Amino acid sequence: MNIARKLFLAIGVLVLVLIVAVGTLVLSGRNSDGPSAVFGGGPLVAGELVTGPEPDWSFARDIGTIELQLLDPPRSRLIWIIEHEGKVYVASGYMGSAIGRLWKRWPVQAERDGRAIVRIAGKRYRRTLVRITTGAVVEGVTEELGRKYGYTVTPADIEEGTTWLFELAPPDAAMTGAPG
Amino acid sequence: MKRFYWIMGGVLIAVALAVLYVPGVGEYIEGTVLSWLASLAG
Repeated sequence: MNIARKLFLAIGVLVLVLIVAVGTLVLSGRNSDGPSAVFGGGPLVAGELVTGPEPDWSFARDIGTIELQLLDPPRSRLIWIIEHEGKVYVASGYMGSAIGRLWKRWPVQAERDGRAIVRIAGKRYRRTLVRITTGAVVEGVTEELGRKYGYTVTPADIEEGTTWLFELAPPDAAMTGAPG
Repeated sequence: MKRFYWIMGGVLIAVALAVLYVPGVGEYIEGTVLSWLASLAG
């Protein structure tokens, strides 16, 4: 066996070990209660399920990330949250490219079926994700995204679909609702 | 060569079991991936 072949084999083994290690984490994470810092998780199970009147969402201004789970498919991920004028929103960037859409499938799934559960500070809330593309609220939410996370996005980006914006509306909201 | 494939199969199964059941291994890999992603973003 010549040196080049041995080197090729060693690199192949190393790559295979990495793929198996990361793949095991990804697959095992699908059954876990919520996501990890890097990989997605399974259904959100633990935590009090908050029902009743709409909460005062102002506390979300100090929350960095929340756990978001769609009912279909029942997988969860960490995501930024934006509070604006008493309502809460989530956004997904990189939606203008094919790679971005391949990487982030949840926005398309949420547009199809917006029923979701979010877990914020250990409490779970039933919500409906309603996509917003236009309206007065978009400007305020994009400004808040920049202020809170340093993420530069304009209302034009939202309208063009390079960044998708969803309101975390009450659970009985129409999924094809008008801008808030 | 056939022996090599058997050894590799054993190694890969051992890696999967270690990730699943050895405390800290999964967290270590996640930390490594996270720092790699952070360096890419930075």
